[in-house]
Amino acid sequence: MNQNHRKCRVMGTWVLFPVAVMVFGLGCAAMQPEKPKTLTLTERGTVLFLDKYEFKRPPQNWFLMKNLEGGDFELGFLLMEKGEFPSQTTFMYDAEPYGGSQNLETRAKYYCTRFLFNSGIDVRVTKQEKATVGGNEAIVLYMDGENPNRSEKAKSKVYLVKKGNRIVSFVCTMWRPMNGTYAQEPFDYFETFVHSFTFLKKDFYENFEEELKKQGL
Amino acid sequence: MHKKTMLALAMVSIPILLLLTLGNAGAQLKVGDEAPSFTLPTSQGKLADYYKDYYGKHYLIMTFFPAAFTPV
Amino acid sequence: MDAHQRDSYLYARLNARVLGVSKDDPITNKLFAESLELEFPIVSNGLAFMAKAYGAYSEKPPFGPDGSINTFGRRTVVIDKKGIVRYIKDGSPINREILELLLTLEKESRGQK
Repeated sequence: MNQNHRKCRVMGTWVLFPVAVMVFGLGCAAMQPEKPKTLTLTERGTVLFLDKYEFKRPPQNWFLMKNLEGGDFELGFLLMEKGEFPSQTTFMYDAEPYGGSQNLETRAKYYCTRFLFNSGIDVRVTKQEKATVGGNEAIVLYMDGENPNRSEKAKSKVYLVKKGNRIVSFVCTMWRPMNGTYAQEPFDYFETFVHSFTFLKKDFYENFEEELKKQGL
Repeated sequence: MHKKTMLALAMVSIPILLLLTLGNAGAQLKVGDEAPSFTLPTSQGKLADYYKDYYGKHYLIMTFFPAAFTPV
Repeated sequence: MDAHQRDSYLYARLNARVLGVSKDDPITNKLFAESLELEFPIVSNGLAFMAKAYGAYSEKPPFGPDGSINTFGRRTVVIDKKGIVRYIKDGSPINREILELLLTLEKESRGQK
């Protein structure tokens, strides 16, 4: 349900995540740069995240973010970029994007009204199109906006992907100061992440639905 | 008495009576207790009545949240 | 809150319903439900009755010194079909726990382990 697309401030060389308000209990404070043991290299040039996912990770200068508090987003990457605060990009896999509908279009429509709603950014959708991710139907949303009060802006790309009876998401947000320039490269790494992403096992809901079927429910 | 007045009176007095009799019971609500019954107005323009709407029919998930339009 | 909406297709299969309880009046709750596209009703706790009865005021009393109604804490309570409380959790709900409990209750009601 919830996004962690708040930007994270670097303090010195130690990456500290401020208590930027995460509505739904996801705090930047809940995440820390994670040592690579959560990720296992394969001989295919990909990494395994625990026993759950396999994907092509971005270069080593991207920090792995793991939500240690068991919130809705589970894994993501953060890149601290050159330039004034907030010059950074994050992308993540979020199994529970905002909204309640199982219909992609309806979910996308609602999602846009909630995305970054607590960040002070005035979000606008610049493009919406259909796509396929991992063989599944998806909708891609391109959004951006400014927060004039804090002189910052953000640009995002979101994939909402149908997964059985549910919808999951991949979200990338790039933050810049108002006079900053957006870059393309971080978005390219996001694309690679999304299109290489595979699920190594059934998730809770798939297993649960099978159990319901067995019970005749 | 007019039907509507009686209904309004019931809606107000029943909870008050129950409130008075329950005392602090709610603070110790435990798994295994009988759920306090209720008849209260809802956002869908009708009353929610535990025994009429849910008892014997559905499991009920009650979600208490402090206020509308706050982060939930 | 939209987690309950996301799981509504599962609740339907498990014969479970959701009821929200908030301190606000029915109109505010209606607008709130619409804004989150929630399909379940929300009860108004106007007289503090529900939250008090269900123990959602564990940290502070239902009424402030000036007689105004205090906000209560987040709490999830699951009641079985016989009106018995089977689950209480304060704070944010863990939806998987609720789903697993409902399945257990359903199996139980069919006489299974």
